[in-house]
Amino acid sequence: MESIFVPLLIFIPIIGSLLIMSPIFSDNEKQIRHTAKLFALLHFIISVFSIIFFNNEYTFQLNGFNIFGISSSFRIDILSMLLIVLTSFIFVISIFFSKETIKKSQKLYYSLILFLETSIIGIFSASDMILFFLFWELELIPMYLLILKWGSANREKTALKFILYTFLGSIFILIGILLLYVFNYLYTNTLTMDMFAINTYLMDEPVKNIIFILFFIGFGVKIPIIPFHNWLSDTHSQAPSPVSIILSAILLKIGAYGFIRFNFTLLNEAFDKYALIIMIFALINIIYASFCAIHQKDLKRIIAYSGISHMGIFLLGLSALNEAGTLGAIFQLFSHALITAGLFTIAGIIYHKCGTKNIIRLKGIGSKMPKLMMISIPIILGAIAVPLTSGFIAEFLCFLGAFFNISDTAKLITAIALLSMIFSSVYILKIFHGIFFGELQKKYYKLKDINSNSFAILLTLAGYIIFFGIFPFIIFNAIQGGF
Amino acid sequence: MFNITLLHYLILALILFFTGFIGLITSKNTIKILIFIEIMMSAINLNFIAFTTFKNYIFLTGMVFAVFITAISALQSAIAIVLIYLIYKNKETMKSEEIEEIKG
Amino acid sequence: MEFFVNNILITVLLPLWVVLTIISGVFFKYAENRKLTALLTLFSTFIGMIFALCILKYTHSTLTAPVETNYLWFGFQNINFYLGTYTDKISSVFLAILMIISFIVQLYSYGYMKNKEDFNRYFVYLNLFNFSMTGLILSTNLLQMYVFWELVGVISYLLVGFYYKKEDVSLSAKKVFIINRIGDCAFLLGIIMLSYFSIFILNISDGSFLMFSSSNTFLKEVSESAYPVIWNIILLLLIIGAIVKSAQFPFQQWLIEAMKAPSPVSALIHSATMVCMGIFLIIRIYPLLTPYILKLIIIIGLITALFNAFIAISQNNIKKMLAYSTSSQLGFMFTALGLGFLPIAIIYLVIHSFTKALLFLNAGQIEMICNTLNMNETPPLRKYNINLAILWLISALSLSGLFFGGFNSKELLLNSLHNSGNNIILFLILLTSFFSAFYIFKAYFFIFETDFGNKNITVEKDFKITSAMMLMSVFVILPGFIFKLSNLNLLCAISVIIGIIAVFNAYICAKSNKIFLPAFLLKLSCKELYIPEIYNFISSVFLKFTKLFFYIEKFIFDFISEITAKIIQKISLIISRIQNGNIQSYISYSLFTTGVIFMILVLSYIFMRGV
Repeated sequence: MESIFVPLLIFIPIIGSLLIMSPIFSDNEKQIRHTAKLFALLHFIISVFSIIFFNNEYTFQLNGFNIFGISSSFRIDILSMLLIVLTSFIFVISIFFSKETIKKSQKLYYSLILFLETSIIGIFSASDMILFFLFWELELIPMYLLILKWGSANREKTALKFILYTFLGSIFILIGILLLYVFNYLYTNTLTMDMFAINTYLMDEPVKNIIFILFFIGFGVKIPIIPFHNWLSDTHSQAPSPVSIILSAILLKIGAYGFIRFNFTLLNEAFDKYALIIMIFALINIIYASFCAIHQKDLKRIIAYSGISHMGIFLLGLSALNEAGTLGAIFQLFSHALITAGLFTIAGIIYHKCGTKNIIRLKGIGSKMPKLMMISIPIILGAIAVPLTSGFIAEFLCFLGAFFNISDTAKLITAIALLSMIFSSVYILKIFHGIFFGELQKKYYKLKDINSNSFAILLTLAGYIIFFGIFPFIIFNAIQGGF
Repeated sequence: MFNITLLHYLILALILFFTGFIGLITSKNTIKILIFIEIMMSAINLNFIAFTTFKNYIFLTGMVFAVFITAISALQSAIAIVLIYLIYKNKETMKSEEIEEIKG
Repeated sequence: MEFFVNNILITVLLPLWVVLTIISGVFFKYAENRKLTALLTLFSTFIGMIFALCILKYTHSTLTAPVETNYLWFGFQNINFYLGTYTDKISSVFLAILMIISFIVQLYSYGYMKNKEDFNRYFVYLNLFNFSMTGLILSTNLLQMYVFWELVGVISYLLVGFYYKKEDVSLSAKKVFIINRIGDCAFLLGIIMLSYFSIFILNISDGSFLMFSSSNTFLKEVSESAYPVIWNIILLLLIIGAIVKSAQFPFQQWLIEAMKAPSPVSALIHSATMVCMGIFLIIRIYPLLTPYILKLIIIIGLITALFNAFIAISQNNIKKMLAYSTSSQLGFMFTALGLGFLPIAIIYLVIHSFTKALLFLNAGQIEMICNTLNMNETPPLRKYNINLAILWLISALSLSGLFFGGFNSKELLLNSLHNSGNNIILFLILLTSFFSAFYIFKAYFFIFETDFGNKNITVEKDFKITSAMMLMSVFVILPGFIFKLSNLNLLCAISVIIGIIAVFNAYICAKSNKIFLPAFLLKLSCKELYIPEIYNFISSVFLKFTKLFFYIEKFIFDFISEITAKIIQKISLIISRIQNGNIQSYISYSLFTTGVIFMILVLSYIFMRGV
């Protein structure tokens, strides 16, 4: 009975996408939106049900074929399950928010969004490495089209840069996957592409190190790790707002997921060896991104750099090699998804209403939009990691775990990384004060406050941020139980 | 005089071939290109016949192949003449450097 | 009586309920009227006050051991973090101060905010402040204290930025938050280091390593171990948190910037309750402190007290002067703590809280009447409103240690200083008391007696405001008759005489509108020891430094992507010139390539054969 969940989870969005795109479907915008919302909500409800009935793992085989080890097997364990629930929630938020900002070609838009959802759920649930890679590449297509058609001024160049940059990263992942396959065959004489069946303990150390570095570069493009991060700020800035939400809340997490699956779990001996170096990369992420964010003038770019900084905290917790750090890192994935979805929703509302993303030109909107200001306070506080929001728990556990590491340099790195609390408050408050505080300018006299749709979205997000800040043990029990 | 061996025939065929080739790539008149192709064909024919002759007529396939080449080259030049005529009718030129539609 | 202690969680959660009621009322528009908001708030604070007073009586009379309840918040392996309530003598005292001052300030605010907009938002913030402050006072361990410490900082930031439509208020709120953040950062690092130290080095594994109740057993283990340097560093980090929160020497700038808040907020947060939390933290971790740290506390306390009093004598903005005065008086308390006189510090804190709160409420009323906060511009208010004058006099006498409660506390402090032999500190404290008396009475004379021309006043009497201030003055006068004096001797007489000389000096200063100090000292005092300039300099240096990273991002990473794209484009342009449409060139290329391949094959065959 339980194995019905996996195909439902993976294939419902694409059925929705094909349905909306098919010529027999009506062109009425309202019907299109309602269908899309229906599919997203259905998917969310099914994912919630599947996590309630979750026992240990769900597996699913499509067609049962096995050519040279490549099968089409899906396997969802607790980490994937939690991320799938998160994904469907963020997609619900994004589709509900699309009503505000997307006005043209809605048929194509909603079908692309649902197609994107399928590919991302596929990434989280695939257990065969080639299938994983297939879904990994598949999400580039709808992203490219979404940025190209509905983005802001500089969109062609940005979409091209996004797709080429991430594609370049995926080449490294492909080489890594093939190397794993080949060396697994050499040592155990079985042809398998299943990432849970690869036996890395028999491989030599140089081989494992090389594969580790390849995966590090490949997933480092998506996480992003600092030398490979250049696509992020442009893409977040030029993409349409609902797509920015999905991009920052989910697409950074697939990089993190791949990192956990391949580098942390599969190649754990190489990870132990390189843990300090990864910690230094994490520190560079945190500090460098904060410094860059302080001087940006584009609202969405600041939020993009804050995302890089938070993912640096994720890396720091992961490379701590103890339970506190790992718990903190996985919790940070959730917390950061919620917070950054909230921040981009606010940015999207402001961009849509005021027509500009430049902080210097936006000022004093708080007098006209007090509801928006009030509901964005919990989200802003979450980004700064104020206690009783989920951001604090994630940061605290990551720093605690990193400090508990045995080596002394880890402690020094943690002490420096804690300064990020001060820097993050500088740029986040710059956003908050730059938009809302100050005197109302003449051109904004006619602004109206946000409507109940946006308010409900922001209220949900803020509510979850505070809820998981006060009761984090719900997620902790789930992770500790199954991981 | 000295003996005329296979090598001499082969070298003659080579010179003839390369003459035809150089003429092929440098001539500006399209009809001249056709004539140079004919020269190259005859060089190839010479090659085959030379091999057959000097190997004591054991394998006659060389001769047969030479006959084939001659026949087919005649056909080929017939079709080529027609094509050049059509291009001439379309573009009013016989210069090969002005026919450059297939470019990147 | 035990009922109150056992159900103390009500005091924490009741303000939250009021917040939710107010927010839903505004949202669903069924209860948007201000009267309901204010009455609900006052009601919850009143209940809290009753709880606090009963608990105060209970803990000081019959309770022997602190009552502690803990709820598991989260944990992993065998390390657990708790939230809970911890009721003992000290927390009951602080709770009582909080509830009384909060009640009075809320009553005052009801009248103060009557004609201003955003009434509901203000009371929501006040309730949230009650909630966070109660959580802070009743916390059982350092992590919970940190949680509510930051929350209180956030509420203070939101309240300072209450009038957000003004540009300078926005900037000040940012500075308040960021400077508070520096202290929080140090505090958090201290907590993390303490956890590591106790779990891995001292091997305490029952999860109580951050608890206050286990402090005493902890100290023994610490003194048995041989890690003095690390322990001092941990304590230093925690103390930095306390110093920043209580606006001590290098960090008092945030308190000065926080004066942009409405006056009742200043009375509640920035004079009486939140800034005392540094002292609260030090009292809680007192059994752990080493002599080095204690000396550091004394030094910082003295520097703060002396320098800030020195700055305050030349300030003309009433609230700014009161802010420097708060910081200076807190320096007194830090000194007392550093010397080990805990009960004296607590008594001084109690009396100072009420006194300073009354002064701030007074300042708020002055602002309402005269529309200015500059003491040079007020008409002689004694003629218009004798109540304010009397109330200011009462609190001034208490603050300068001449009469009422301040006399008791100062006398206790001076006597203990003399008895323990710290005569240099005694001298410095006396000097600072001279300054304190001087500035507070200078303010009195400038505001209430002298006239420099501005006659623009609006006189309105609001019953709530007046009654609130009267109630507060009761609490200023009362301690003078409750706390018993230890020893009336020559030292008290000297301090009273110094105070009277300062009053006289202030009178002469007000009459001649000039302070009698050498010019360069006066300039130092006016410019606030150049500390705001130093802060601006540090922040500009920081911004320039981070701009470097911005340029790295723009000119290196973007450049690399652009250059890669351009190089590949150029190469492709060059290579695409091969396809020029000339068939003859295609033929020559293909023959050439075929020839090359053929040559390679032949040569490799010959080579293989040769080998």
